[in-house]
Amino acid sequence: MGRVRQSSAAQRRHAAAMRRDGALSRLSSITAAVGVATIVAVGALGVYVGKALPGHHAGSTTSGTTAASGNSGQGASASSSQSALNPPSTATQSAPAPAPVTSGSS
Amino acid sequence: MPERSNPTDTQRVYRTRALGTIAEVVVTERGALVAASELLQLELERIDRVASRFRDDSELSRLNAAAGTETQVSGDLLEALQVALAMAEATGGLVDPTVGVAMDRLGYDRDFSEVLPGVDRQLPEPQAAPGWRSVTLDPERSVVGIPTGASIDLGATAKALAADRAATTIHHRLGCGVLVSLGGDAAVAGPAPDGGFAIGIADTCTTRNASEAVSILSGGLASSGIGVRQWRLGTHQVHHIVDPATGLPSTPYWRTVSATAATCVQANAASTAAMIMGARAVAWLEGMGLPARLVRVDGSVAYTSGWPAPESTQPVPEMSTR
Repeated sequence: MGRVRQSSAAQRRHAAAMRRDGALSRLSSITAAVGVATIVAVGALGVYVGKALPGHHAGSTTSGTTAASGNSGQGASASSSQSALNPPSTATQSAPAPAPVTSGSS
Repeated sequence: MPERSNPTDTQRVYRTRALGTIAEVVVTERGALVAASELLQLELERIDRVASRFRDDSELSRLNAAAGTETQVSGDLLEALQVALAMAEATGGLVDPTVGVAMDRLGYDRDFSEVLPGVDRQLPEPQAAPGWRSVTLDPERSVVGIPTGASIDLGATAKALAADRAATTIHHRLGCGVLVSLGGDAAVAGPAPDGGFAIGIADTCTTRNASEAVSILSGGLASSGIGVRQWRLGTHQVHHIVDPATGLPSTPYWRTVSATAATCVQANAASTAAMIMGARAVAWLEGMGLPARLVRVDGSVAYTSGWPAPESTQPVPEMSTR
C-alpha cells in the first residue's frame, strides 16, 4: 500500500515536471519568434527611413503632387519643389532706405 | 534696353525689362556684373520660352492645347509644374496653377499691356478652378496630364522660380554674392554684403527710393499686391490675384503683402496666398514662422514676428562682401 502511494506521488511529480518543461519550451519559442520579428521590423524600418527624403513621398506617378525627379535645370533650387513654406535660414533685418532694388506689386 | 540706377550702385546693378516687368541683378563684385547680366538674360529667355501663357510657341501653350491627353514635357517645364503643384499643396490650394481658364474669362489672356486699357466683357459667374489635384505628373517619364478644358497658369510661381534659379546659377558660375529681382520677387545666393542685400519695400516694384527697406542674407523676399495688375472688365475693376474657389479676383483685404522665406518661390507663394486669405493671413504666416509685412487696403500695416521695424531714411552705404 505504502509503495503504491510512493509510486503515485513520483508519477505526479514527473507529470508536473513534464508540464513545466513543455511550458518553458513553448515560452522560449515564442520569445525567440518575437525577437526575430522585432529585429526584422527594425531592419525594414531602418531601410525605409534611410531612403526617405524630406518633402518627398513614394510613388512615381502622382496626381497633383510633387514627386522628386531628375532635374535638368542648372540653377534649380533643390528646396523649391518641396511642398512646405519655410522661414529663411537667416534673420530678416532692417536696412537703411533707399535700397538698390524694390519689392512690391508688379 | 538696360538702365542704370542711382549713382551709388551703378557698378553693381543691372536693370532691364523682361516678362512684362523689371528684372534686376545686384552682385557683390563689380567685375562680375556683365557676366551676371548675361546669365540672367539666359534664364529669362528660358522661362519665357517654357512657361509663358501668352506665347503660342511656348511649351506651356502646347501643354494647355493638349488638355485631356498625356503630354511629354521638358525637364524645365516639369520642374516648373512640380514647383507650382508643391506651392499649391503648401498653401492649401490657394496658389493653384489650374486658374488658367479663370484668367482667360477675366480677359487676362494676353500680355498685360494689352489688357490694361480694359476688356469689353462682363464679370463672369463664379466657377471654381479644376484644382491642382486634377493634374497628373509622372516625373519618371516626364509626362503630364491636365483635365479636358483646363488650362495651366504658372504666373504665380514661374517668375519666382526663375529668380531662384538665376541667383543660384550666377553664384555657382561666378562665385560672387548675388541678388536677382524679377518684378520685386527677389532671390539671393552666395556671400552677402555686410548687413545683407537691402531691398526697398513699397506698393509697387517700380518705386525708386522706397522709404522702408529690409535686408536678407539668404533665401528670398517676394511681394504680391493688387496695385499694378488691375484693369476694367465691363463695369467692374478687377485684379490678377484669383481665388481658385470662385475663379474670380480675391476680395481685397490687403493691398500688398511682402514675405521672406527659404526661397523666393516660397516667399511668393506665401505672399500670394495671404492676399487671397484676407484677415486670417497674419495668424497663418505666424504659424509658419514667416516674417511678413501686410498692408491693408486702408493703408494700415500689420507685421508678423521676424519682420524688422522700419529704419529712418538714410543714404545707402557702400557695399562690401563678407
